[in-house]
Amino acid sequence: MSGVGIYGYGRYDASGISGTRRTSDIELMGIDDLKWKHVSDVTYKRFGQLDALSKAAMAATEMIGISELMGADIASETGITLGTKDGCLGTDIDFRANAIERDVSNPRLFAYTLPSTVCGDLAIRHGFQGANACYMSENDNGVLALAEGFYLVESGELQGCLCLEVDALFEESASAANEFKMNLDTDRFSAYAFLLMNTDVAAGSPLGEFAFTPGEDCKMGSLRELCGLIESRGKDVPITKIGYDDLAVSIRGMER
Amino acid sequence: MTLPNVVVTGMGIVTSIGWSPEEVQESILNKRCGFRGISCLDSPLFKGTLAGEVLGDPAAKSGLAEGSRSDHLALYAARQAFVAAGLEGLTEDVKAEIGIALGITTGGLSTTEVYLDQLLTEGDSDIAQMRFHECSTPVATISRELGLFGIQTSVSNACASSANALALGREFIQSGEAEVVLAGGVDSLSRLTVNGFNSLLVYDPDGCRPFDENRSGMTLGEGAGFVILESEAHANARDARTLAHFVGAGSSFDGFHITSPSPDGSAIHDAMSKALADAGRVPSDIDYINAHGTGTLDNDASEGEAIQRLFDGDVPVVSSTKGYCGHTLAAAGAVESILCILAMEHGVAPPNLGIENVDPAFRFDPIREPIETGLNTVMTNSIGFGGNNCSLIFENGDSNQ
Amino acid sequence: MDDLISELKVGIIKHLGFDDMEPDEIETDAPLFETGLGLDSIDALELVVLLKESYGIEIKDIEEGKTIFASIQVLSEFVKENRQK
Repeated sequence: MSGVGIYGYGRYDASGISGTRRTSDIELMGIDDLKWKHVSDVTYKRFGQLDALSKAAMAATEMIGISELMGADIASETGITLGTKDGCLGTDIDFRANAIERDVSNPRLFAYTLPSTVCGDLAIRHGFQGANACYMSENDNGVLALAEGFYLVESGELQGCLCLEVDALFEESASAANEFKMNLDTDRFSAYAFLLMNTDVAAGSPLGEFAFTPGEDCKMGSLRELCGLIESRGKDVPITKIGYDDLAVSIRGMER
Repeated sequence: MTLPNVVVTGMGIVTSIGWSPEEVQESILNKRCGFRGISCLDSPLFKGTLAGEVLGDPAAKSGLAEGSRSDHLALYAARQAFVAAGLEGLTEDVKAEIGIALGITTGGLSTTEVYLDQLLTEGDSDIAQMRFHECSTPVATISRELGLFGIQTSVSNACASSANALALGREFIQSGEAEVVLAGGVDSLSRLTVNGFNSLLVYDPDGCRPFDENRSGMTLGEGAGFVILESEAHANARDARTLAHFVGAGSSFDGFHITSPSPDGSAIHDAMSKALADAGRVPSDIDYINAHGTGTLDNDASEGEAIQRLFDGDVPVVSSTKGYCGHTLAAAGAVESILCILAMEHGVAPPNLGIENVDPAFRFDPIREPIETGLNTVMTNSIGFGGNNCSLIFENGDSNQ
Repeated sequence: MDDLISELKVGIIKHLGFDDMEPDEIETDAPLFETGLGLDSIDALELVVLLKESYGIEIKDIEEGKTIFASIQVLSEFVKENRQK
């Protein structure tokens, strides 16, 4: 019987940029200074046009090495679930500041005043055509995105799902926000990405496999913690159960 | 394992054509368009531009002491659905299990814009107004005011938001996370959206004309729509009236461009096919399609192409109702699902306002008058920026047979 | 290289946000849309804004834009003839 496994992860936050494809030999760049050449050798000319949220998501996802994990046929049946607390708040501020400064509405900025545009950019770049959604709450967005991704693959709706938790603001947006007295922290960016696939279609072994453990109390605080667990595993220490008790989903590490 | 059947047991709606399902249905029958000059906000560049603005004061009617326009609209419609479903009399601990899935994009933006303007012109403003900015605020408001504390989230998927929210609410019930879910969407007019859609040159200031050969853009609307979704077993146990069966949902991604759909409409074609497969139905089972039909050149062309291809010469009754309420953005999926359920309940398919001559590229003819006809199975499409596509299928409720 | 052509290339890169591109990567006679530089519909709208802000030219109809934006060469000729600043 097929299962759902995590086959890749990517992380971009204040402690570094790393993932399945590349280890953290990349010099850490704040979101304002991040250039595409820092994360990839492949050309992607539109990177400069992206807003902070999309840049952070794109960078973390690039660390997964998706093209090495799935072909175009699986990609077309792969979806995206995105969790974010602040969404495009930074771009909302940029749009307003830009409109005031230049007395015109910038159409590209307008398109980015939707947090789901991140999903659009990721889908275009990686050829994903499955279901997708962006979730926004005060807490636990990443876990919901992961649980929903698991459900979509497990039910057969999708063959794969990219699950992300992202929050990012450009320094300029944060400064503009502070001129509007919003008191935002200027150093905000974090993006965690996981690629889930149906174990039947994936090649190789997963980093971790989902399992239902009804009735068992599991705690998974955040996707950042999940990243930390995967990274600290080393060769001999398996990931023990990680789960989110209310959603009754847990992840069992593979014994190596 | 068979998944539980999900039914609709209550509805609540506020749009430019009415403050209840009954008022809205009356407007539909009388072909009463809700477009008017924008008065709830001051957009100097777009004076005289039409939009589907809600008439009356949401703040005065919501029963909420303070909040953004979206909060007021959302709570009003949510409470209306809640009461209509007969859930008010439930005990506190049962209400506490009810979930919420809400589609939203603007959040408290219209209030934030007031705050920012005051700050710029007067040098000072009350930062407390920023409390309502976040997209997650209406869910928190509804949760608190109605006492619902089950699984809850907001879905922000552009124009497909509440269609996705309804599908998600159904999934919550199918997976056993909840027995009852309040699912819907809300968006209110803001300067950002009025200016933004104009900057993309896709806004028709004189009123949208979906599927017309001379169509030149969308018209914004605002509002809120909510349905009470329930497992059939739970609904039957408490003898609730089943308005409709929520039989299918399909979702897909275009991966083409962040604001334009792929010309062949493959993504909405895919979403419609998936919804049919999910419902265990075939195209010929569909009696009526409520198209996304915004009135832009690109959307209608690609959606029309997809409908023609899927229904292969046998296209059912089709209309876009955006000529009534405008494009209510995140609320569209929920609002239009409610219009579909009303259509089945009353046996009247709503017409497509705004057409003088149908674009000859289409081999189907959207109806231009309300048509009295038995409707058993209906489909509603939602297509959003970013490439989100969602299609939902409802069947007539037992109480209407 | 013609100053205006060079200025347009720099302007497009800066205004449209193509961070890592150099002006001499843009071919003067290559198409701007579909092939060549591969600009999209939103880039087109941003070019309209660029023309207004930098050269005082107003494009009312995006269809008009399609002929003007055929290539950098065509665009520079149009700007020479119609610039207000």
